[in-house]
Amino acid sequence: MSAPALTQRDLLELKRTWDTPRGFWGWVSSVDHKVVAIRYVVTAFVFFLLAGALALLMRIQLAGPENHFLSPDLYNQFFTTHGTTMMFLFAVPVMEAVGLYMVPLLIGTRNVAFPRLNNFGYWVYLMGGVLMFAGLFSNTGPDTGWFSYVPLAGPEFSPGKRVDVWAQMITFTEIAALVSAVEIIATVFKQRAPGMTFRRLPLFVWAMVITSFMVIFAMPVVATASQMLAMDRLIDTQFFNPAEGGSAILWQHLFWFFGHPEVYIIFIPALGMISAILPAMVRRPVFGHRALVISMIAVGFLSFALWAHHMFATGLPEGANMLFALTSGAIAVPTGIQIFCWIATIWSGRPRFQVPFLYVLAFFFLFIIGGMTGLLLAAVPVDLQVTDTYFLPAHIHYVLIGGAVFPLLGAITFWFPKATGRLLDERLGRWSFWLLFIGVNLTFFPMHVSALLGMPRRVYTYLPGLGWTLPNALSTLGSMVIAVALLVLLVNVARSLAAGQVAGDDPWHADSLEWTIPSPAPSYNYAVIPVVEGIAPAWERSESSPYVTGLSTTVREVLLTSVEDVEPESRHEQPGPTIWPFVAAMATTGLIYGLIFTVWAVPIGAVFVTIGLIGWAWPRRGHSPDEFAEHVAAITVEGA
Amino acid sequence: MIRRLGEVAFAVLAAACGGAPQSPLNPAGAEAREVLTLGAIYTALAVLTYVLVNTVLVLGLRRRRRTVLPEVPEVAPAEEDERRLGRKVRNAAIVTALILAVYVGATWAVEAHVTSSPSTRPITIQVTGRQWWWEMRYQDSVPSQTFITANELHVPVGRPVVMLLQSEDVIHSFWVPALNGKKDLVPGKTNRVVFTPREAGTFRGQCAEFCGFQHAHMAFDVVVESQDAYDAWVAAQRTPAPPPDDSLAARGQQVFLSKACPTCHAIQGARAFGSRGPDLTHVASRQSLAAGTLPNTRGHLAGWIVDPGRQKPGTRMPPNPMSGEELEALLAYLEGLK
Amino acid sequence: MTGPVRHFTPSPAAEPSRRVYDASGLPTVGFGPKSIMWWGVLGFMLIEGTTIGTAVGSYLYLSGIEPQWPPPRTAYPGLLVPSLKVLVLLASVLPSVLADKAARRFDFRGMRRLETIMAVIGLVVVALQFLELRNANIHWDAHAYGSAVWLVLIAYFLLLATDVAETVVFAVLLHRGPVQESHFPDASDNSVYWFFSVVTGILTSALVALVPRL
Repeated sequence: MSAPALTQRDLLELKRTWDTPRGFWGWVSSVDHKVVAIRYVVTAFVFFLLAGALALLMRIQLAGPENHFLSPDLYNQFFTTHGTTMMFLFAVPVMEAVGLYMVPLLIGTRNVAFPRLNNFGYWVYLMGGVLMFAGLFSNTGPDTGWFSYVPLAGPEFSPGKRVDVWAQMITFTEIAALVSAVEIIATVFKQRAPGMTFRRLPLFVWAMVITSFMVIFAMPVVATASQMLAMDRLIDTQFFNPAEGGSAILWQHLFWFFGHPEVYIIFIPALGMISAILPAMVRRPVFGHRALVISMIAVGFLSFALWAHHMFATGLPEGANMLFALTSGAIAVPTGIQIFCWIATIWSGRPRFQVPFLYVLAFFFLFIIGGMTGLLLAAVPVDLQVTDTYFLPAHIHYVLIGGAVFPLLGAITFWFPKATGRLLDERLGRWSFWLLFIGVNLTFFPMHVSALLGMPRRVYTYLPGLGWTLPNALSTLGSMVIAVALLVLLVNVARSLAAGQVAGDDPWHADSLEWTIPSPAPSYNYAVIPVVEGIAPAWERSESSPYVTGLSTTVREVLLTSVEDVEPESRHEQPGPTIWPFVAAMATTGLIYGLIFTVWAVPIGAVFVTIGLIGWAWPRRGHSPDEFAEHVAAITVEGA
Repeated sequence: MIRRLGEVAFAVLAAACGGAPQSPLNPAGAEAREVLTLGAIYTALAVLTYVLVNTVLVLGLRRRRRTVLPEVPEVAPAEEDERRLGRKVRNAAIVTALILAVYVGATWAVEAHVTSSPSTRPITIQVTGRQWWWEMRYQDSVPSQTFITANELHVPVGRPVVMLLQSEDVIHSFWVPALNGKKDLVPGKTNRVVFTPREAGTFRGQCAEFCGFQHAHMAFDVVVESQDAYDAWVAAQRTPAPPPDDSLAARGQQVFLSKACPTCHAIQGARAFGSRGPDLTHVASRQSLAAGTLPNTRGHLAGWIVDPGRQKPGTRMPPNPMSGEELEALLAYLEGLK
Repeated sequence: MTGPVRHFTPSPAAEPSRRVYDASGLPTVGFGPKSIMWWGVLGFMLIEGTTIGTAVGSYLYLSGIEPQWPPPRTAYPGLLVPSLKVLVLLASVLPSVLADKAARRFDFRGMRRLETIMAVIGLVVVALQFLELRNANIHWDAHAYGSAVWLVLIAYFLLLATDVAETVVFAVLLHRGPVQESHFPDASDNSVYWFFSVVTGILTSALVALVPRL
């Protein structure tokens, strides 16, 4: 996509203005959303592999009855860390990260709305993960499950600091997720390229916006709850102590009010990814753009009305159980509509069986199994037979791996060339895809069987003679296959980064804006801001398509557009690289780490955090107050 | 018709499971049967839906495969085709919503039925969960007829049983798959689950809410028997332990009372009143030890007493080292506590 | 520098067949939803609102499951301090609105004066908040009631403290410099956030002081 309005000199100047400075501290202080997002993705996958390794060890322990490979204590730490890491340190951050990378590119802007905040969010996330694994490796790993029910997780039955590590790790990941959510909302509402109305907004961007609102209404609930738990343990508050007026069930309500939207926070971006990949793979825009948007919004809203289906066995009033059975069943409708729209797209399109498309297809074969077991779980009396058995891990892994990880891997394969300039190898891609598909089925399908033979979940061993040995052995075998699949994927990534096929701007001949700029994307994303006139800008644009000039090449400027009509409204100057977000993040880390041990960490830590924030926010340039007062008074401004 | 299909279905399943003692596919109670029927129907529906949706998908994939694929995308598909597709999607959505409405209705109906209060006078048993065993307290309108046992339930065929569920420490979950769905034992409240056994047999229950180190070894046995056998069992349970009948057993009782045992365990009729651990008055009559972890044999009992942490690391019962003579006597005494 | 607002018009470019829109004349400052910071403040209000909502929800849940709330022989929270706080909060709305108006007029001196007043008011409210905690007449570890009261009040206190700290630093900055045109919309956003603080402050004080008496 040529930009005749800019000369070579302009482009060089633009590059110099926007590039991340060289060197270690340059890298640490980068405010380029792509640099930060890659950091997030890589870190999230490291956590994914660590959590996966824990799962392998657990599967070895469960391969046969009455095994002594892992002690119950280690097993309990492992299953807790596995679940917590996958949910908080991998799944949500990686979806946010792909959003932080792609959203500005998809909407035609140069950066996210708050570049320094983005940088801050990553360091906070990293230090939360470090806390988690420092705990595990020092025998202080949390061991009460990823949802940490009380009173087991309370001060009486879980002495020591294990649960406090868990509770404060939540604080870190919550801050990072909220930061990403605010970024995405502000960026999408105010920085879309002119002409990109909400009707023309790519479905992945819609998904990220919906997810961001969900994060804002769900994450603070778990953060507050985890602090309530931490305070019960640290300073003897009585929130969850039934002996003093507290309630063990309150914890469950609070946690699951967050916990159910949490899984949709992971799932909805994946739905957006499917919609992002399909057009290029089947040579037509996704069918039913409007229906898909409305369905995603419906899923987002409804997901807040389902939480008590995790609590059917706790003895809630029957009316409540019935209501939540209804809402849990109802969410299948908007989910189904999306599936039907995609099938309609594929039906009327011309599919190309490249690796990203394979991952999308796997969604239908895997997620729908999970969706169906979900309906079984939503039926209260059936749920009471299968919940808290291996039916649950079977269900969640089918929906999360089939519904989120597979589309994620498809999206990564799809957008890898845009980020790196090279394509992943197709052949290795097929190998890792099929190995993963087979491995996932071999691991998780037998869990339905052991569940229906009565195997509860979270057991470090089991007795022989109950019929559970064979399904468990199969699951263990399957987990080895998954491990091999991931290894092949890693090899593919490494080799392609070094010497993969050069991709060019648009290797997939795809429909969305990001394919109109070079690969890898330059630091400034768009040399000139395009004006969007349809739903498939890369397919619709030509040499005579309109664009916007006039943004500075020496100062980091982004174009702000009006929310409704998306007309250019103002120019916003963004800050450049700075070390202060890192400093503030370290101060925040100190505060939260301290809070594991004492409440005094809050006032003391707050001092340092304040210093960090002041350093961050204090302007570098400007006028003296009196001079400024005169200057401003001399200008009359209309329509401020 | 559906009922008949259901009966056939679980006859097949029961055969396939070969008498699995802890399986919802092997129902022995009225509620579990109803739930299995519902679950079987839903599963069949689920399989059907999966096959249908994915068949359409595969057909769609195969549709234009044979033609050469030009690179030019169909940026604006024909309106008439889009409308036709739209109608199909809309119809599929409507069918989905209708099926779901029926599904919710059926769910409500069955749930209301299995949670309805029993029509005949039920047996009431209060279960208290502790890390990691079950105290069962059989209620009676005459207080002196109440008795306590642990880790094993006996109930007569055909009579509804109301379980009142409480916890002394953390959340546990009471689950006997052959009889009904699970219900949590939540400290601070009393939950309730009802089941009506229809078949005699021995079934297994297991704690289904993670409750700490030995959650994996917190099971219990449920013996469903004829009314006569049940009455005999109740009568026996109400009787305190008789004095030991030979000198070895007497020596055993002496060992029991002089070691740490009475701190936690009670034996009605001996001077042992501990309540932190299971009541041992009729321990020899039970099928298993350590909450369903070990078969109740002499060897296992010996091993359990001397070093409980070996079988159940983290258990609250401390090790009880003793000489061989003491152990022999103690075992003889305990084996007499039928 | 702030320039006059111009609507963008297509300007004839080197290639007349191509429409090129020139953004160089667009303003660099906007107020309300036209300012990107406003969206950050909106996000922050939603987050803080959810946090306070969680605290309030937990308080109400616990009050619902107890037969008597507060438990027997528990003193009620004092009414004097929260009433004072509510009055101060209500009175603070006026200078806050005036600060916003001054900012929108680009009246630097007026804005600076009013932000200084807001900073002082903020510190007074923080002091009152400390007193309110003491006057709640309950310790955080005494029964779930005490924990719930402290939860609600501390949740608000954190919101208040960040807002007041920001206002104080802002006021100092406006006196010391360096100052920029973007500080005008910042003052306007500050006003919005203060309004949120006022509303949540009144709600939380009312909840804690009045629910036991109902």
